[in-house]
Amino acid sequence: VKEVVVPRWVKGFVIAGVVLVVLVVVMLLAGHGPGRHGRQALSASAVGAVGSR
Amino acid sequence: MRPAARRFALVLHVGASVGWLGAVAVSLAVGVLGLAASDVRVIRGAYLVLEPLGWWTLIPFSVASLVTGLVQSLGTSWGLLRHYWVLIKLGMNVFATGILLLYTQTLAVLADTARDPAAGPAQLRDPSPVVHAAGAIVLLLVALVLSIYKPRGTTAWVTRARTHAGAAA
Repeated sequence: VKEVVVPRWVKGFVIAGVVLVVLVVVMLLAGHGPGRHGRQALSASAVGAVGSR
Repeated sequence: MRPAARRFALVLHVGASVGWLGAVAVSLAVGVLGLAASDVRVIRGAYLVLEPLGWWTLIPFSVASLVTGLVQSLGTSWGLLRHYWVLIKLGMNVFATGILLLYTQTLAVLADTARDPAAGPAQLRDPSPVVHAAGAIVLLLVALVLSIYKPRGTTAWVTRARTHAGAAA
């Protein structure tokens, strides 16, 4: 049976890919998910607007 | 695929991918403008522009790049699962398109903030579009390098097929 040899550059890409995916998952779990950006700013401005009335 | 169809498919794939890279570069420039501008109207305008830019250019080009890439690989001798560089490019494209689709929610929130007249420069400015666009450019440039250099290496499917072909002969 012929052994499958994975080139070194492929291993590098796989490691980088796994690190990237883990990073994305961790960030999603930590609350840095989509739609988070600016929501705090928006709510802060709404609070400011209400507070100034 | 016939040679003429193969060339046409390649034109579509390169066109879509280059268009995607260009659209990401524009997003980066607009994101930097949003961070660097001092006029609040310019900052507001930058985040308002990013949302339609995402829906009308980034997503169409990314999906087109993915679809034409699939057609290109399945319709030629390169195949989809035979060569590592094709497989890795597919993974990168799916990853980038997925992140982009999720990121439309962020672009919508940024645009909503920009529409809020009470929001000031500090609330409007967000480094997120710059970070994401810069990451996308790196990813697309790596994909470009893979496409041009086509580094050697065939997957286990090819090795198994060759082994079986050798055994059958």
